[in-house]
Amino acid sequence: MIDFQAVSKRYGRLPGRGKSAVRGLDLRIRSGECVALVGPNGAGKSTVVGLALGFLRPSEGTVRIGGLGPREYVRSHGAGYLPERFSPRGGLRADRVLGRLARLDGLDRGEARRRVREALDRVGLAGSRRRRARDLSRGERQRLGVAQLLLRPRGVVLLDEPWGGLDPEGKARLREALVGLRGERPGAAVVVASHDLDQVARVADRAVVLDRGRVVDRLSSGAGRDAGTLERRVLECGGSTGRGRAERDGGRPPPRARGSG
Amino acid sequence: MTPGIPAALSFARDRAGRAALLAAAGAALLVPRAPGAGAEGFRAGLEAGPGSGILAGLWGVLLLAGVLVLWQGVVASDVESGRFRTTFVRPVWRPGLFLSRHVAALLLLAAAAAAVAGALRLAGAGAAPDPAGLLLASLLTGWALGGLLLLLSALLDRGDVLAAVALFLAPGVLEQGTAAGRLLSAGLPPMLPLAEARRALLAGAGPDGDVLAAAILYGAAATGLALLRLHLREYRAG
Repeated sequence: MIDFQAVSKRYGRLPGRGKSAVRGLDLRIRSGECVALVGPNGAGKSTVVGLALGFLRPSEGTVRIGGLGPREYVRSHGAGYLPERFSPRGGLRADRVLGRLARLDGLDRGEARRRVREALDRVGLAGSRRRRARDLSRGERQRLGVAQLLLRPRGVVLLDEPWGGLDPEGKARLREALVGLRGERPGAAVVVASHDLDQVARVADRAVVLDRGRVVDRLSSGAGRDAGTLERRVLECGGSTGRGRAERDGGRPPPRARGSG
Repeated sequence: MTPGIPAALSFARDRAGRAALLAAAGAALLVPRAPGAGAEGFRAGLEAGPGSGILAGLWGVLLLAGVLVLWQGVVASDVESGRFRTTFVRPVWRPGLFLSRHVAALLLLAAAAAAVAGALRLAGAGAAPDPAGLLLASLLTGWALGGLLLLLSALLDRGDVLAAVALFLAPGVLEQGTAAGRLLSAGLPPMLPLAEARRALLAGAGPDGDVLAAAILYGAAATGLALLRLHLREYRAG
């Protein structure tokens, strides 16, 4: 379904000044599969998500979704996407935020209204539908982000650090939402890039461990569901402290990473 | 607020703040001329030099630019926040989306200006401009200036700020006839002819055909380049 072939991505065009975020990535995500991208900061997880959705262009290699380029696929089929911080326009009411997105999803006015009500209900924001986005807490805004995923189930869904800012109830609702999405579209390919290994282990069929833009490990479904194994693999790459990477690099401190990778 | 940045500059980092600053600057230019002023913004008996004439036209331009910045939504802050990403995963054609927002902002703005002028006329304010003329003048100026704002916003971080600065500087620099003025005028909308066309429209006369064509072509070229850039550019996460 989503096919990365020898994909590299460099930021910056000046010779010697650019930064490689992804290097020679070969990855295939099949229909109906939920794959987790894990790894330390700066591993390239968010870049992979951006490449898959056509927000970024690969410096080398090709990305295809269902045989099409990412932008062609998204323009003709649409995709699900949840960023680390869902940031709608602050002055809009929660139901208006979703209503606008539902209309862009191609739903007619009546259907959009119905789906918005259902989605808000499913994420526990039914009572907040008339509140402005700027008045919602960070966790509530992220739940609103989960709700926009539910407006129209898509064949491809990508989540980039989706659990950031969510309380335990919000995390549980996101997990339920993912199960619901996969139930409504059994063929959906789901990619979750996250540091939250406990959540990842609960939802992913398999995990791909990235480090400095390279795939360093692939854990099949049995191992991929084990949070302990995932944590060990990530810590071997450097983890959130960079300890493992520093040890592997001969004690040098890890490079400072921008963003979540 | 970032330490060391004066409050006014920090305020200008926000799109609504920038729009408010532009609108305030426009109002500041308008208010001293308001009491007893004619349709062109001058009190009877005062002599108006060419610089003042341009200034009088500028208040409307700044108000227009302020509202365009506020409504247009094609500025770096939106791109940087990653807000467009959740829109662009929908089955939409990006240039079409940007163009529809741009045109909707222009139409709303021109309609609002005409409504205010109409209300002033109904209230018996003698200095109120002709609503139909104001509608056309707003559309013409907005299309040309809005194109520039859209283009600079698409090319540069906070490009709308650069556009506003250029519009502030333009009359003074253009009047001097210097090399810098000629260079600036090559990239700016036809400011002086536009101001004349605006005055003609507000007075109920039709604009010069050449000015009309120049403003429409400038707006179309700037908008087209901006849409191409917005179509091709990468959208990184916020």
